[in-house]
Amino acid sequence: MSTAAINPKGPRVYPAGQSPRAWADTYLASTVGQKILVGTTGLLLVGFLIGHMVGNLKMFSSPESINKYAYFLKHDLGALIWVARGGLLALFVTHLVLALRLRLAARAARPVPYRVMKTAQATLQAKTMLWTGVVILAFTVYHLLHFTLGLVHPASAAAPDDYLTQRVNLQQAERNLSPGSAVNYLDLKDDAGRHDVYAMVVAGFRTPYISAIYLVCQVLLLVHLSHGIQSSLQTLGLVGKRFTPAAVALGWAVAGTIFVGNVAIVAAVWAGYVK
Amino acid sequence: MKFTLHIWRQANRTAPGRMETHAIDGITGDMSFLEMIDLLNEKLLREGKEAIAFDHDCREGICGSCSMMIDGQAHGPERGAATCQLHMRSFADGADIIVEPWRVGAFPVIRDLSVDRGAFDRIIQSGGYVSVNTGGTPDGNALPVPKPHQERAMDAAECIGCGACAAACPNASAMLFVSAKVGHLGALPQGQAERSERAKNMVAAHDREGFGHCTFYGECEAACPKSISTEYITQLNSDYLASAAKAVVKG
Amino acid sequence: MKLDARVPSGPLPQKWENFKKDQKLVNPANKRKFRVLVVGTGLAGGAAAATLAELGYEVLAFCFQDSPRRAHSIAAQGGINAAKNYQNDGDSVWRLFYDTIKGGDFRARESNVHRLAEVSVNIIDQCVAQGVPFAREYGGLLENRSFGGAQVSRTFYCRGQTGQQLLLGAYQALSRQIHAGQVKMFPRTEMLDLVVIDGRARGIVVRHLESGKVESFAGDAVLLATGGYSNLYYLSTNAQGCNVTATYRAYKRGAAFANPCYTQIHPTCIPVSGDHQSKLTLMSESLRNDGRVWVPKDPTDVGKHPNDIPDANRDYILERLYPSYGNLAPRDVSSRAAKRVCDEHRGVGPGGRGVYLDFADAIRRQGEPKIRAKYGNLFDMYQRITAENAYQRPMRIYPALHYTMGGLWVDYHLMSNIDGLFVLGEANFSDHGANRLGASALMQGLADGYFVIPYTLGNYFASTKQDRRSADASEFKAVEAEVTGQVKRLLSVNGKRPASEFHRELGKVIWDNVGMSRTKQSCEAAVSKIRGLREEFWQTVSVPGTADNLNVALERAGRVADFLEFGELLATDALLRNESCGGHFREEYQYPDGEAKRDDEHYTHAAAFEYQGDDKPPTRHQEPLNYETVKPAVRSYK
Repeated sequence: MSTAAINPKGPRVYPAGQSPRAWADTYLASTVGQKILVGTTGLLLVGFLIGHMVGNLKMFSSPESINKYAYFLKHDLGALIWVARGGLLALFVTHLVLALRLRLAARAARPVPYRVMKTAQATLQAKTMLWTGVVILAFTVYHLLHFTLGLVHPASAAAPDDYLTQRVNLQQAERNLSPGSAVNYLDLKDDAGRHDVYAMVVAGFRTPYISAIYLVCQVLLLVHLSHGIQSSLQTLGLVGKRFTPAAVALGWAVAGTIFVGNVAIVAAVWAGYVK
Repeated sequence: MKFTLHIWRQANRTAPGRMETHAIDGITGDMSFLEMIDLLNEKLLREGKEAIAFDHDCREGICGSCSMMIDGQAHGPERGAATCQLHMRSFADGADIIVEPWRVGAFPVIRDLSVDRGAFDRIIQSGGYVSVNTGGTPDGNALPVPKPHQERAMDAAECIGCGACAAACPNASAMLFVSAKVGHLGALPQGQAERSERAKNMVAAHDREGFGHCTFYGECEAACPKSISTEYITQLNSDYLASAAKAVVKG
Repeated sequence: MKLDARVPSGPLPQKWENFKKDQKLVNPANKRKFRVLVVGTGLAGGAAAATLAELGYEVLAFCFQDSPRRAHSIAAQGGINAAKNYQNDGDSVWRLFYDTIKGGDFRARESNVHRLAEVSVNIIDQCVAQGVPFAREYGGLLENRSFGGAQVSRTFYCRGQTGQQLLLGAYQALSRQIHAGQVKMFPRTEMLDLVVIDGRARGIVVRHLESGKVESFAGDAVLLATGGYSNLYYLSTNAQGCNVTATYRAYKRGAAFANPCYTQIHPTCIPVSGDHQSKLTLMSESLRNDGRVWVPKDPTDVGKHPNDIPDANRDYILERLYPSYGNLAPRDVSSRAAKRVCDEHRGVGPGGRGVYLDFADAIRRQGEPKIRAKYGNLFDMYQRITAENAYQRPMRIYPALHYTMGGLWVDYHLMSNIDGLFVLGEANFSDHGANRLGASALMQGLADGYFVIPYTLGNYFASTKQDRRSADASEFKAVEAEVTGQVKRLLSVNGKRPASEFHRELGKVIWDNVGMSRTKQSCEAAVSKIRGLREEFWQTVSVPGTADNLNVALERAGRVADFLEFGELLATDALLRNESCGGHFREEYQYPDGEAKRDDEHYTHAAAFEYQGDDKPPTRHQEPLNYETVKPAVRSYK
């Protein structure tokens, strides 16, 4: 005869289906759950874009101002910058992976396509979300290579006798380079010895094709966000019928603000207002 | 009027299908689209050929049987109408018209233009009801229902379950169908007890059937014979979030 | 054949209570041992299947549609009556009972109708609890409207889609039971025969429409809730699939068919526009709350634009003929009035078969937004079909076949003369007599399904020895063979004419001869024409394809074949009922002013026909209708 208890005491037992894992499997794995995650991460990324754009507007203030801001982000924050970068990356990857996964599932949901299929009220923005998203991804990579890692294009002194020329010349002298040769963006330094973000941006946008890339991608970002923001608000169940037009307007307003702010910098460099 | 019809023919669930072309003459603008197909079928039968299978019943836009993708639009070009309510005066004389079945993986083609919409029944079975048995219910006036709530419930309850939302959705999502039932019952006091569970279970059933996700294209709303608004999808999402939150807090 | 109505004893208002008091019950643990086959999933069948499953019975439900949600109950527009007296306008169970009996021209069974009125109040409570979004007042309480044949407002409604909402309520209740495993649902499955062994209904033979497979199902009881046979007329407000097959085949297996000639013509349909038409669309009777029916006084004004005809030259027919009920006169009365003026060449629209339903006064009085709120969907529907704007010019309406009061004979328990065969809703004959009042069909379907059959079926099970047969029994196989034989026969005719052509011709014969009015000659003519048509059908019908897949032509041909036999039965009944009553108007029997003249002395009975074989006339049995409480009177709405 066994002496073991029929129901022995031990660690706490959760009823089936009530574990956090079961919760996630139910709510996060559903199409609605995944869509809510895409929307939430999207809105958080929009938050980042606003901060990014506002920070960059310091370009209009002075080299000192933006360089100081950049120094603060990169050095004063210490390890926090890596936390922020990690977070951003996680948001970006989640947003992208789930959106792609949903899209693939949606494709599988219609195995035989229609011979003809017309849409009635779907907007161009809505229909192109995937493609604008993919281009924005490529652009983000380019943007990081360009300004964060300085791997794409070096700075050279083109217009004589302005701030950028002074900075480039200074570096050439410091590094014993021949006049006219290019300098890596990251090597540009201001008088305080900080990385000269201001000069780097001016150098970047003076190149016509780079500006063109940025402008085109800003347009695509505008298109992406104009649907993304209002769709996210609806996905999160925040706006009903009465406020759908308001959400659409809000989407356009936010997307437009980001667009105008970012493009203003490119345009200002081009127009020679920022030099 | 005369038309050239390009119609999908498919012998059964597994057979490969193909488009078949038929010229038809003697159509009047007062005829409904289905009456035109009737005429074509009579012609085929006189020639000893098999009639085109299509679902239809009430022919007044309420039973939800009819289901044709006409020229790339679910239920054809008329807004707020089912195929049976579409009259030939909506087409230009001499036009070529392409007719296909609903193409959604969850709605397998049974034959020609007829599809199996059992997925919708299974979604309702997963929770699209108020769990009350017959008898023992309180007086109808025991719980007042504010008129706006009743109107909101009714707007969604009008859904005829035809499947046009999923057929028209670029993602093949049936979220409008799900949200109409969740929205109908959720707007009434009688539906509150199961509101969270209903949203959770019906979305799960929707996903199990293999429908796609909603990205607010709004094509469902445009295709819906009852013009049910995508606001119900927003409401569904909000109920779903509430359900998820409740599950976190209350287990 | 014995037709024992098994009406409980006691005074009328106590009969249902007495039944419940005396009934036998089935122990909850035993309920699951009983298998019920429910054919049809409309209001009656859906409600019954759901309720019986809730009680614990094993339920198998069948419908020919692709989903139980598509049963034709869904198309009912106007509303559902209930004696709630929420409006404080003098309603009561008694008044609903009396209105229904009177509306039925004193040709219904008192006890059934009184029970219907009693349970009507429970239906509303049940549906509200299910989440049916009935119209509400601003204070949140239920709203009512008036309907034909009543002087109180007792009709509950959901916009113009009451049938849809009530059916979805039943469908959802049914879905819940399917989910729970209590109901096994067979959509796209058509009942083609009834299996009767030793005088008891033991099961059914069905054809799965997608696979073409013929299969038998055995059960302890069979419930037919398969609706009416208006489609016999080809043009009707019924859905395309509505048919008489289930009830007619049950008739051929010995179930008595009662009062087939009682058909209802609905006065407010959109008139026929051409030969191509496959159905007629009903405009809810509720429109008559605000619309005024008129035709020009002078036949020469018929071609004029209605708005150019001054009031003095208009004949508001219902207001003139029936001042106390006016535009809300009952359906049969209103329909005949329309027919009469069209016969006088005062009808409007194509072919002169139409009368105006004018909202100009209501719009002037209440404003267009209010009218739009009440009837917007109906006005849209009208415009979509006719391309005319009814806010600007009067609608044109004309009567069309809408409902059939006749059906399989049932007793108080809703059981037919075959033990174990129950018939619910429009498929039976019991509650509406010779004419049905508006908003009563939904009431009857749900009453039968939710509140009558759960009691009477339990009583049947508890008082009968359970003796279920196997679906493999030789009797089942024999019926299967007959069904398969009929299918093969249809496929082997190899003719050149589609079944729909025969259907159209049959419909015309029936409408012209046994339609809104009938005579001895016309009924006889109908019988002989139908026979000729039937012979032709079996020689020339075209049914290509095979029996082993979805074959829409085959389905249609099978239904038309049954209509071609049933039409003769209907005409025979009309011929043998030598009186006018309700929807049955024999021109020989009328008062000088054209009103229907009943013959209470000889015809206060239900006529139930017993099948005797294909070549023999059916036997006509009578169930006397004993009016213990109500005195039949000349039905006047003047």
